[in-house]
Formats: sequence, structure tokens, C-alpha cells
Amino acid sequence: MSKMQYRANAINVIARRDIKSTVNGLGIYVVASLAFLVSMLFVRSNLKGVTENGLMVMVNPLNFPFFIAVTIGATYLALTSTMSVSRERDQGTLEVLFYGPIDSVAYVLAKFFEQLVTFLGLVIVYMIVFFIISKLTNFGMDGSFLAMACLSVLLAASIVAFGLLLSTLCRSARTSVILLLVLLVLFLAADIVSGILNSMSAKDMSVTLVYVRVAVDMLNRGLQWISPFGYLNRGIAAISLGSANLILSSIGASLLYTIVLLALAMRFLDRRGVRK
Amino acid sequence: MRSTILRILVLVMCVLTVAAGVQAAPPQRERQVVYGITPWTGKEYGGTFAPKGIDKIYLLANSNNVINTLETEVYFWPITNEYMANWFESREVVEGRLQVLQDGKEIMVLERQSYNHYYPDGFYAGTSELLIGEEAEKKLQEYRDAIEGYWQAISDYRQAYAEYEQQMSEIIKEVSETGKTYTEDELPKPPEQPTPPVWYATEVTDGFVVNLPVGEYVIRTIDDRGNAIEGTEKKLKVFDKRRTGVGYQIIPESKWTRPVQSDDATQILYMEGSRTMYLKAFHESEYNQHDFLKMTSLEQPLAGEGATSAYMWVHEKEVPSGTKIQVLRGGEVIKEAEYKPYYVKQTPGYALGYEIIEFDPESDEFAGRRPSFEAVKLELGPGSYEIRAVDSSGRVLEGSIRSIRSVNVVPMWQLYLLSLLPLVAGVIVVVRRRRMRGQTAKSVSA
Amino acid sequence: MIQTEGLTKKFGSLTAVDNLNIHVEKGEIYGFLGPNGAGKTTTIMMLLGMERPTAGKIKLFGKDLAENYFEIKRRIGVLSEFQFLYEDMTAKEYLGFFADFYEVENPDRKIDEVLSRVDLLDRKNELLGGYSKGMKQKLGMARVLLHDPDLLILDEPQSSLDPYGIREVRDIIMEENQKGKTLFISSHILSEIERTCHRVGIISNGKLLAEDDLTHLKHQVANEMEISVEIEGYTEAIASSLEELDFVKSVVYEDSRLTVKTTMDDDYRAQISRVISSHGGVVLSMVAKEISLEEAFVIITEQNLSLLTKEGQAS
Repeated sequence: MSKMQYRANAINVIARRDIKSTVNGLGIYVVASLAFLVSMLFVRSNLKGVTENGLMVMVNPLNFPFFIAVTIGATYLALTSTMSVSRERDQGTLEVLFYGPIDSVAYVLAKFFEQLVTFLGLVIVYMIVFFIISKLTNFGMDGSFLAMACLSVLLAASIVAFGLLLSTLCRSARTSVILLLVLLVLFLAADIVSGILNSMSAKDMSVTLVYVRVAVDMLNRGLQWISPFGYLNRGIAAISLGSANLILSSIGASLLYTIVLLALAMRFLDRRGVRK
Repeated sequence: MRSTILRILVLVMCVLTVAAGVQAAPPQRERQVVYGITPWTGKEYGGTFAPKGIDKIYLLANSNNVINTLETEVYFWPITNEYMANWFESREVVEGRLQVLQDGKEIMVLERQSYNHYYPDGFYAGTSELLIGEEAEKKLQEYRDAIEGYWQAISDYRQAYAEYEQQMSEIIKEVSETGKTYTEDELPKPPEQPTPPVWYATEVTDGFVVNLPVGEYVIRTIDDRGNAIEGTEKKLKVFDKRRTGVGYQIIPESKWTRPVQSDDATQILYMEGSRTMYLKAFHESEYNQHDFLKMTSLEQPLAGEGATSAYMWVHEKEVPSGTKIQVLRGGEVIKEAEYKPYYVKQTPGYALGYEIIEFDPESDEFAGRRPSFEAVKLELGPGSYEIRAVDSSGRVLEGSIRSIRSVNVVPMWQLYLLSLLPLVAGVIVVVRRRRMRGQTAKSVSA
Repeated sequence: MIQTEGLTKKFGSLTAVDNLNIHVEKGEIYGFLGPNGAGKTTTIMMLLGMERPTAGKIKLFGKDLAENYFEIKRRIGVLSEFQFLYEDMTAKEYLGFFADFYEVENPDRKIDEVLSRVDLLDRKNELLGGYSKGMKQKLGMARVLLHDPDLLILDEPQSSLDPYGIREVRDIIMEENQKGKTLFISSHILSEIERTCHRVGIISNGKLLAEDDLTHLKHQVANEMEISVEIEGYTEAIASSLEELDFVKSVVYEDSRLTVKTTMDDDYRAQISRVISSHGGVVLSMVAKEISLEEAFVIITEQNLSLLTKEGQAS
């Protein structure tokens, strides 16, 4: 058997065990419901907007709620992967695994694919529920929604890779979880605040607010290369521009980002070791 | 205590007075070499300038833009946060040529050319053309001739009208004296009043006509010996649109003063129940917000700041007359509507306070009135539709497809209930697993 | 089977393992001994590729570990001192997971087989969270046996076990060895090591102080042999005659017992018996009392004695 076959087997076995554990636990279901409840608030607001105004132009009102649901789901998975690595290390089960035919590459990939497959399952559930909502409200669900669902998998991949990197980088589970949450909130906040400020006309802004916009824009531009959401934004922009080259390059960039993070996670796991 | 308060109050008053004095002080004027810029904005020619404090100029690619090296008085007006130039009192042309460099290498040197602006639909209609050299002179001459012709026509008209009045007074006198009757055809016709030319051409002036492909450049004005004139070196960013399309302005019948806008296909029009709306389609281009705002308002240092990653659609011109809007349902065209003029009639008794009616220029009702707007009227019932603009030959205008959907008002509890489904599934899974475990344990112990 | 060459591991300024050269032959049971903090676990971790050596080479099954990592790891079964289990699983699920991990053929049959060997078959559907420490230790042993490894590395395999459990594990060790398997055992229960191991290696402060078979090792450590003789008809002449012999170091008579200490170069019981008889004494019993492994271990580690003749430093 080649090295890759050994790794493939280890990835398959560990990922299957973890998926089974996730599916048999309550967490993922609670998160899915929570994600739907939060996204329903936005659906409600959009529905109210249309009924109050009679006519309203907007990008598919299910897109943002879907993005919120995706972010909640992916963040939960990143948190669980972060915690599971740290927990396995703390409990010593990681050490026991490494007695066997597994290395850091296989282990990190197993954790990664486990979360990704779980996320795929979650996205399918999301798609079903959002499809029902689109039918109930007649908000519609077009090709761009499907494209967004595909992009969300890339987003989840990069968030999970980010979480794995932090889990291998930090000494304790608590530090890595707090760091992950703080960074994700920062990324998301910079993205959303920058979007809101950019949608405002400069004429309506005070000088202070213009400088705030400049600062947020600079921060956000920098973060766009570090934040997983930056890669999603590029993907969405590429889809809306309908440029195959841009779509491919944004997918490529997103995959590259994920690969780099995973490679770093493997390296840090090697350096940090698997023992308690 | 009281005297302390009094002292503080006096101090505060003094500070406020000084501050107000500083605020009220006239801004410092400085004589500067600046670039006067007439950029093509995709729709019209704008006007801005680059004073000493602005080191980068923005222009659209592959279009004629005019840059002029001038010396004038400049001051910064803090109330509106913009530089002002005292063009009326001080405007001197700085002689020289415009050198354009890219990556440190000279790529062209421009001489001043004569140019003017031609407004085919009038100065206020927006669209304008830049005419260069002889063409500019010719158009200006045509305009002058047209104006002269108009004044001549006015003079002729006045004379003819005087003659007409003379004839009419003679007829009236004759009728009153003799009782003679005239048929309408026998009466003299009043002369027709000439209309002034709507189009307009500005005076011919000199400037550097810059037309460059997308890129980063450096420009500077050089004298006869090829030396750069101090204060004239600036960066130049030439950018282009990101994409083009057809945008819609949608005027709801219920709120005609508050139209909504759909700039691209991702922007869906949602409505509740049946709605009547009026659509106006525009050709549009999407630009980087930062670059576009800098290009059009360079004298405002804050314009476009912080918007480097944002894009904006600019409506450039209305789609040509003859364009129709098709409504599709399930891929089939169910309706086709064309542009018509409409008039907003104020009706006190009417629920909305107004009524939008089709404008009929022949009707007495609209005598002396102008239509409020021209648009395509759509009356849509509940459902999902697509609209698109087609030209007179039936060709669909690229980027003109939009979705229109009427929403169903769903009770929120249904959506919340839907949200809880995963949780229910989770509880079932966990309970089942626990039961399985319990059964296994029992069977083992048995 | 296991061969290290100049194996060294440094953690900053601390040298945990220093130029370690161990050699474990195929089919032998090797006891790896050392006081706490001697570097045993670090050595095992390096053997498993879980710690990167600062210097030196490791060969397992005659192959370089780094180059044949997966192939080698698949042939090894490792039992650590403490058992870390997925407590939300049953024993069957846990072993099923490792059976998949090691790609064991007929996993269900194999799981039942190993569980029955550790006497846990009837508890296979119970959650591991409810297992006692000893049960966990035995389940760990079952996991080690599951994929039928050629080399078993056991770190304190009998800790946490009751006497029955200790015997079960000892039996498993012996059975596996009889099947031709190699065992590398690190343990503090020296009596068990003495009972099971063919050879031992003793490590202290990161250095391998001794590596030999048990008899030879004890001989090397002890510089005298104590022979206890139960005697009838003792006279002072017997003691004087014995003391005159070159190989006798001391003679003490007490409670009808004569204790003779001799040099370790040979077995002198026959000569002692002849001297006693020649002076009219009758030997009722004679026992040559050897040094225990525990005593040898204490002597070696406390005095930091290096008995590695290879290095020419034998004391």
C-alpha cells in the first residue's frame, strides 16, 4: 500500500467516526435550528419591507439569511473541529490514534473532511428549508442561490481550515476557541460595516464618518486576504459579474487559502505534538 | 461662587467668540498651478480641477477628456470640504505641452488643441459631445449661424406679425364700417413664431485632449525646452467600466415621487399583490466608486474615500425610442408594452391625491401642459414574471432581464415552526440512540 | 526488530535521551527499565515517530521509520500506561473503529476474539465511560492485539490491574511471544519483567546504562555470590578451611546456617561441600542466593553504573 492509501484509509475511518458522533449528538441539530431562527428574522424583515412599501427592489432576500445560516453552521463546525482536536489531545485519544498508521497530514485532513461532509449535509438541509421558504413567500430561488450554496462550501472549508489552524497553534482549547470567535466576529463585522458604509452616499456622511469609512475600508481590504469571508465575497462578485475566469480564479484563491491553512495546521500539529 | 461662575461664563464666551472668528475668517487664497479637467463621465462632460493638494487625477479609458494647465487662485472651503478656484477673477493659461509617462518612460507629448462642447439636446439635457479642431470651429459657426438665423427669423416674425396685426385691424375696421363678413379662410393667418435652436455649442477654447488606455500614468506640463514646470507633475489613473447593462427606474403608481431602481439582474423587484408601475430603462455602466467619484469631484478630497472596494452603476442614457418592455411568464411573452407619455393629475378626492393618466397631446385636457414623465406602464397581478427590454427590431437588450415577483404574506409562526424541525429531528435521533443503548444493555444483562 | 543508533532528544537545554543505542531481537521480550523521568516514554515516542529525534537513527523491522512510517506503524501495537478511550462509544464500537483504522479482516470475529482474551466479551456493548480503570487497561490490551501486530510496545501494561488481571496480561505476553511476536515492555513491576523478559535495557538520565540478558546482567552487577548452607556437625575448622580458599570472601555461621560469600567467576558449591565433608560436617541443604533484578536495577541506577561492554566502560 502506498502512503496515500494509508492516509486515505485513516482519513476515511476517522472522518466517518466523527461524522457519526456529530450526527448522533444534539449539537448540530440545535445549531441548524438556531441558524434558521436567526435567518428567519431577516426573512421576516424583508417580507415586512415589501408589504409596507408595496414595491421593493432587492437582491434575493433569502441570500443574506442563507449567508447568516451558513456562517453560523460553518462557525459551529470550526468550533467543534477546534475543540475536538484540543479535546482529543487533552483526553489522550489523539496520542492513541497516533500509535497507529496516521500522521498529521491524515489527521488534519480527516478532521477537515469530516467537518466538510457534515457541512454538506447541513447545506442540503438548508437548501431544503430555504426552498420551502422561497415557495411559501415566493421570494424565489434562482441559479445564483445554488451558486451561493456551492460557494458556501468553500467558505465552510476555509473557516474550518482556519479553526483547525488555530487549534493546532494554540496551547489550550479555550484560547483557540476564543481566538477563533473573536477573529470571525472581526472579519464579519469589518465586512458588514464596510458594506454599510460603502452603500451610504458620501454627501450624507460627516467628515468623521468618511474617515471611519476610510479606516474600515483599509482594514477590510487587508482582511479580505486573511478572512474566509473575503474569499466568499470575491466568489459572489465573480458570479454576479458572470465571468468564468473570475469565478475560477476566486475558487482557486479560496482553495489555495484553505490548502495553505491546512498545511500550516499540519506543520503546527507536528511541532506541537500530539501528547497531552 | 457667583463671581467664579461669571468668570467661567466670560471665558467660555471669549473662547466661543475667538472660535467663531476663526471660523468666520475668510479662507486663505493661494496662487497655484492647477489642472482644469473636463472628464468624460460616460454620460456627459463634467468639470473639476486638481489643485496643489491633489496628486492624482482620474480619467475614463479610451475616451476624449480635456486637461488644461492653468494658474489661478485656490482656497479650501471647510464648510463643504472642497477646494475652490477663483476662475472668474484669475485664470491664466500656463503655456507648454503635456508630457505623459508610464513606468518612468515618456509615452506621448500632447500639444494644446482647440475644442468645444456640443450639446445636441440642449445644455441642460445632459448629453454632450467633445468636438476638436476644425469640427469644433465648424459646429460653433453653425451654432452662431443658427442663432443668427433665429434672431433673423424673430425679426422677420415681428415684422410679419406687425403686418398681420395691421391687416387684421383693417379688416376689423372694414367689418365694423361696412358689415362685410369674412370666412375663416379669407382671414389672414398669423405668422408662426420661430423656435430657438435647442442644441448648443460652447465657445472654442484650447486644452490637452487626453485619450488613454487603462493604466497608471504620470503627467506633467513641460516648457519649450522640455523642462517640467514646477507643480505640474501629477499621477494619472485611467480606468474603465467593470460592466455594462440596462438599469430600470421603477415608478410605483402608489408613490410616484419615490421611484426605485434595479441596476442589475440580481436586483429583483418584489411587490405585494397586484401592482401598477411605470418603467424607464437606461443604458448603464458600472464603475469603481472611488475612482468614479474622484474623477468627477476631484476638488473634494473626501469624495470616494473609503470606497475603493465598492462599485456603482451610472445611468448613462435612456434606451432609444422604440424600445419596448416584454413581460414573460414561464418563458412565454405575455405582454409587450411601449413607452408613452404620462401626466400626473392632482385629484383631491382620489385616495392617492393624484392620478397618473396617459398624456394625449391632442386632447384639450392637456392643452398647454407637458407630460410628467415618459415610461412603460405595467399592470401585474400576483405571480412571478420576468421583464426584458427589446429594441425596435425585437432584439433583447443585453443585461435587461429582471425578475418581478409578488410575495405571499406568510404567517411568521409557520417559518419559525420550520426552523425548529432540525431540533425535533435531533431530539428523535438522540432519544432513539439512547433507547438502542438501553435495549442493548438490557439484552446483555439478561 | 528495534535498533537505535545514537538516538538523542533534547528539549531546550535538557537532554531527555542521550546517545541511546538499543537493540531488540525478533521474537524476544525486552524489558525497558528506568526510574521516573529517565527518558523511557520519550524513547518510546521516538520509536513511534511521535517525537522527532534531535539526532540519531531508528530502525524498526530493519527499516528506517521515517521512510516506511505507515507500513511500520501498522505492524506495531502500542499500549500506554493510561488508557484514553472515546467514552461515548461501546467497547465493540471502539474496537470496530480501530479494526477499520488498521483494516483488520473479519473485524467482528476478531473483536470478539480479543475481547474474550481479556475477559471483556460480555461487556462489549457497554459504554466505555462506565468501565473501571482495570477494564480500560484490558480493553487497551485488546486494542493492541486487534490487528495482530508483529511488535508490541507495552508501557506499564499491568498497572491498574488486580492480580488476576496481571496474570491475564502476563499470559497474553507469553502467548504472543510464543507466536513469535516481539515485545518491548516498559514497566515498574520488576518482578513481572523478571518473569517475562529475556533481556532488559536500563536507562537513567537519558542514558542506557545496561542492556543484557537477566542472568548475565545480575552477574555483572553483583560482585559476589552468597551461598547459604544448612549444616550439621559444624566446627570452627570448617570455617577456617573455607576462609583459606581463594574464591571465598567471607564465612559466617549463625543458627545452624553457614553463609559463604564467594567471587562470581564460577559456581563453587561443590568445592564448599567437599571442604565441609572433609571436616566431618554434613550438608543438609545448600542454596546459591542470586541478586534480584530489583536489586540490580537499584544498584545500576543509583550508582549510575554503565555495564555496556560495547562502549568499553564496564565497571
